[in-house]
Amino acid sequence: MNEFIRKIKDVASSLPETKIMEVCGGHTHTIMKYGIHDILPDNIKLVAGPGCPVCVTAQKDIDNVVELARQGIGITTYGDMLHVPGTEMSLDDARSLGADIKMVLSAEEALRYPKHVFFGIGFETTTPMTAFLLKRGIRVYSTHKVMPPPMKFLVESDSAIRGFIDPGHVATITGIDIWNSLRVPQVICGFKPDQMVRSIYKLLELIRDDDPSVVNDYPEVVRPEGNVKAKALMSETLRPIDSEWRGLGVISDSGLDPVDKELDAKVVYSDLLKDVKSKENPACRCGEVIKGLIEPYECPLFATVCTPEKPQGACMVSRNEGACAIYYQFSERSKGA
Amino acid sequence: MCLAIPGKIVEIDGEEAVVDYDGIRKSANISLIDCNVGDYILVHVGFAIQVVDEESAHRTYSLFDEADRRLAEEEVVNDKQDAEKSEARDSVVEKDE
Ligand code: SF4
Repeated sequence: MNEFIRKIKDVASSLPETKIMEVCGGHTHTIMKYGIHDILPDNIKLVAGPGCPVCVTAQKDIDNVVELARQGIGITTYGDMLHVPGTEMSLDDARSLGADIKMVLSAEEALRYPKHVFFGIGFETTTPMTAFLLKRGIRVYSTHKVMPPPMKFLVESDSAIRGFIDPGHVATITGIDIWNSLRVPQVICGFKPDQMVRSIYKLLELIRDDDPSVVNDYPEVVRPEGNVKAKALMSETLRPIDSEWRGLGVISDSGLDPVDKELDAKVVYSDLLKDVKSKENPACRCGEVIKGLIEPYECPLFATVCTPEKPQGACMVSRNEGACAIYYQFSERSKGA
Repeated sequence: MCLAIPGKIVEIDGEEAVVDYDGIRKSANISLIDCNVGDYILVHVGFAIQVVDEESAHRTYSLFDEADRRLAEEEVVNDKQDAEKSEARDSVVEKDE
């Protein structure tokens, strides 16, 4: 690891101020936990991007699922989704009021509730499991999103971003090809601190050489073709849609909805959902955190009003992936706040 | 949500495998990959997403130092508490009805 820290210093010395972004909440976790910011030279800015599925889920989707639950439709979903604040209430609040909402640890558990709507969330790592449920006739409200469209959106709107640390487990499913379309330096990276340091070094080298290649620095897990079975299952059951991201707005072909309209809760229950009104909490700056424009501690609510126990915004919910929640756990600054 | 952990397949029954994670055994769905007993696999929300070689599986294990292990355990406990809370609430609601 020390060898790569030294190499990072060497490459960085020939670079101007350089902004790079990680787009996986798991990476944000490793970076904060092991203090990787501290070993980077001052001119290298590593910022967290839209890599936390809970964080990027649009307010509207949370509100819609809360509405379904309140109208008596049973819901199954992963634990983190329960605590995301909606305009009026979270799913957890709805559950306290008697709504039938079951938390599952694995998509397979949702098979136990065949009449419930599965609230599906996540990037390609998590999407095949929802595809599995669709294949078995489970109705789904999908907020599934795909990489790399949001990365393209960010590069086009913020030219300061010079390269990406690509999400290793998303790439495990997608394979390598799709990342090439970005034409920006990228390194597919694992989750150990030494792997991250090595990948950052490789990324800085690509940036120095002005080389828009994609390096697979996690080849022990990421195969060039990805997971072919999972990809086939996804394209059989899900279709691309323009999808709304918190902080980024609507990005074309960046989301997935069920192919079978009968299994698409948005279609089946469109009548129940047509009057749902959403409004984001204006005090929460989660959108800017997702875009990498501010650090979590720059939000006035951070660690004061907004904590993982009482999240005021989506970025404070997931202890593993939400930038605000991760900074809260590991950042010295938050302790001072 | 994109973290996956490696384990070793000790038994296969159709689409389900019993996976050993360094002493803890749990079942996983293996319908997304081709694999055999003895293979190391990466598991994410109950599904195997890739076969990995033994060496990289061990490398990833070593990721889980003591602190990580505690964190992971806490997370399982937190999730369980959430699930229990949900069940407790369900039963309260049922009693109310
Ligand atoms: S600290 Fe809370 S309120 Fe502030 S941006 Fe993060 S999630 Fe939103």
